[in-house]
Amino acid sequence: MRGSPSSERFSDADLATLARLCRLELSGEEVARCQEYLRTIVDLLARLYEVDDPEEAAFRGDALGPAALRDDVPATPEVPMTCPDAQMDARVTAVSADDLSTWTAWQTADAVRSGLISALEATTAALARVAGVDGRIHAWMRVDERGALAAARAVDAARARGETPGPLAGVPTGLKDNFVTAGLETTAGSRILAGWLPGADGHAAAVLRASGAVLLGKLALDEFGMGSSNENTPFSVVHNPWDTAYVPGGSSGGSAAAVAARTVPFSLGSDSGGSIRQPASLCGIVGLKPSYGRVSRRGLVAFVSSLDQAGPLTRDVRDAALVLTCLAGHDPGDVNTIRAPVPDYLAAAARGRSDGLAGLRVGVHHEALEVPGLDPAVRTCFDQAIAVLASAGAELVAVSLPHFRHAVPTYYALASAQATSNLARFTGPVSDGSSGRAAFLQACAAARSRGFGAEVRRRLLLGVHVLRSRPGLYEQAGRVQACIARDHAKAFERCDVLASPTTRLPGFRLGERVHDPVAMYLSDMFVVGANLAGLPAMSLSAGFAPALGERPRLPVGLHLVAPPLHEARLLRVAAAYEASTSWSGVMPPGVST
Amino acid sequence: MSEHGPTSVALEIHCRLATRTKLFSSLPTYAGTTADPGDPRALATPGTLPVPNRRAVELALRLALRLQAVVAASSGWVRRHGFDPRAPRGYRICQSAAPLARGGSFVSAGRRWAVEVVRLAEDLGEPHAPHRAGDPRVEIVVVPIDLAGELRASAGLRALRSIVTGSGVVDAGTDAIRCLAHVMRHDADQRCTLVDVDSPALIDRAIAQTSAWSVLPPTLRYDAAADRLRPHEATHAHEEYELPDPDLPPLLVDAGWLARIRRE
Repeated sequence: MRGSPSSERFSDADLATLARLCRLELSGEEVARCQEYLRTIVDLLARLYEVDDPEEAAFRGDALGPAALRDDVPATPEVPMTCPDAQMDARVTAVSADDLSTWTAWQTADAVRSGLISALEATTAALARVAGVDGRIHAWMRVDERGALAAARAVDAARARGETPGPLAGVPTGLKDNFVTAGLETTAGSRILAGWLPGADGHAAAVLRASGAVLLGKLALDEFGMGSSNENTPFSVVHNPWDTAYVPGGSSGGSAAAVAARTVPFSLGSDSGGSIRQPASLCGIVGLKPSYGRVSRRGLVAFVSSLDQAGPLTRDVRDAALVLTCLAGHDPGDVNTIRAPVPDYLAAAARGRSDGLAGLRVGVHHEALEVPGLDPAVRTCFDQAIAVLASAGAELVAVSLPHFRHAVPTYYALASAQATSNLARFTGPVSDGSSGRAAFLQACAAARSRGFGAEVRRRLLLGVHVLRSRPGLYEQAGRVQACIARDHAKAFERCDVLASPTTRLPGFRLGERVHDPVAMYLSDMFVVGANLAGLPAMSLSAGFAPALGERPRLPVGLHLVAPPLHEARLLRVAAAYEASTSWSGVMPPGVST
Repeated sequence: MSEHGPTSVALEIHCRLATRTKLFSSLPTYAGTTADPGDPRALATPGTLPVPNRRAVELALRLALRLQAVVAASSGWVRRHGFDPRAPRGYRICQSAAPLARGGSFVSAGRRWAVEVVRLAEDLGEPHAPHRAGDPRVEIVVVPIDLAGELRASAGLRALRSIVTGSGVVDAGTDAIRCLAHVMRHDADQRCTLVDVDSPALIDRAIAQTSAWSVLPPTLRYDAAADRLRPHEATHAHEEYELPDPDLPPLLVDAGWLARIRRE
């Protein structure tokens, strides 16, 4: 395969086989498009065979001993998780009701806890803000006004009864629509799930509600998380608040745009290959992807099970620490969650703000800076950002991640294969199999072809190709993944956090890349490594690429990665950076009122 | 024996374990409740994650110890996708790559029968009992016996059934123990899986009837009432694929756990 000049061809018969295996019906036109797509992406995946390092794919996290297994007791009602009480280190003193939308989650919760405002006031203001600006942004797929007002009143009533309000008391929020929410439609951005009203909350919704947060509704995403622009959707496309002709990034684009547009102070996204950090960068906010296993995936509609992690999108670092404090921890319902104590993230962020970064080594990922097509304005912002870290006391060292160029193909091999497996459950309305095999398969293929969008269908075909037509490719991707994890471990012998730009370009226009999915995939090259190595990573606003020709002024992100379970270190560095800059206070022009 | 006669046969038995809940979900099992068994489609509810049932693992370990099999310090889980409409998630979780235990043996008809693997799997459910999908079962695969000698599959099946029943790990249902026979013709390198050969009284007849096929299909079903092998619309092996289950870490069984199970 090495240096092979000829691309793999996919005949009509090959496509028919792949389509049958993933239960899809393809039109003639789609067959032609998919042949071209598969040829291009399979060329990219062929890079995986260049790696002949014998690194064995290793399982990360805790293995299953008897204590991790479930007692043989029939179903009991879900017990909502409780959340540690966050410590508040300062008080909000003066407010004016009309600037509630500029408040952070921390400020809002503090004001609700101290009685300065009610949860109902915070919620009403957020609902008004959604009504006022979301018509231009379309971040919100679904707003549950009644549910939100009822939840806010419950927070106020609990406080009136003398109960201790939670750490997110009265803070309005939204969840990416792949988080399962009781009684609130959950579609994962797909027509195939349209109308589904889950019976119970998943982990994230339960802990947020238990923490006092008020769920306003659900946020737009690329279908099942497959995308980097939010354009892979049968519903409304999301617009970037910095310029509505631009994409918000993806797949958590609705979550990023909702926070950037100041409709809510924080939201949750999920990140399998950069899906929190890339939209955070494009929308000029903070996005945190925790270590794999730090946050439960129970109740997150599965896309890439070995990489998916939920995390917060916020406007400042302290909010990221606050929300992560609520989310993090072991969950017996997700056996991949790690049994490690949850450190004091708020204290870590406070330490970064007050103490600077003396003694900390920041590894500058030099392959990222040598990528062809790195936007000069992005480079300038990044150079300024690491200069800020240095002036806060950090030592800068150049580090190398030798398998960097293999990260995107590794990701697409693993992601497409696991997505094919995870999405096999969606069979349309005839899922009891009582109609006989042939009739079932036919009805199923028809329902799936109607229910899944073009990008999902492409990835299903690729996944079956990886698992069936290329024996050993999935395992090879696992080995390269282990090499990428080892590269990071070696880099962390020389530095404490890794830094790079979050994206190569500050952003792109809606429609600009929809016809070139593989070019779209490459836009995630700086961020997928952290997923593959299971590491915590963050994107922070690092200033703006100035308007240039037709391109407007757009935000640029600084990407930081830490060793496994070192979210606290990440937050400390991010807080120190934020304390020396003022980017988080800038309001996007598209949503000024 | 005709020129198409089978030369060897490997038994594989599937035993439904006596648990109250499914292998990976706290939904009640079909046998574990007299009330409404859970709809197994709930196994596939988006956002649902598998959590293994300790009791199921311990019953399987008990059987592995009874067969003197070597329990793996670490075993793993695989998602097997086929096109069986009965699998609620589109796949079922089993241990085909890294089984719970290997080796072991039992004695029957004056001979030691070697066991190849002992592994856990989810039941697929059956057309008459779709609610069984996801119920835990243990699968025992026996090393092939040479049919040129005097040994017959019936002797092995009878002994295995009595070991399994005697160890108290299977549920009380009449069809809690199912048997497959992998029939091989070494000369032509052909093999065929016979399903529904659950009865020790009939299994040898079913195996002998494969001689009637000059080319063996991948799967045949034994219709005990008619005493006939019939073509079987089975899981189409060529349509299957599998991957390690990314939701499940490896299962670790240490000496302490095994010792506790031995004492019970």
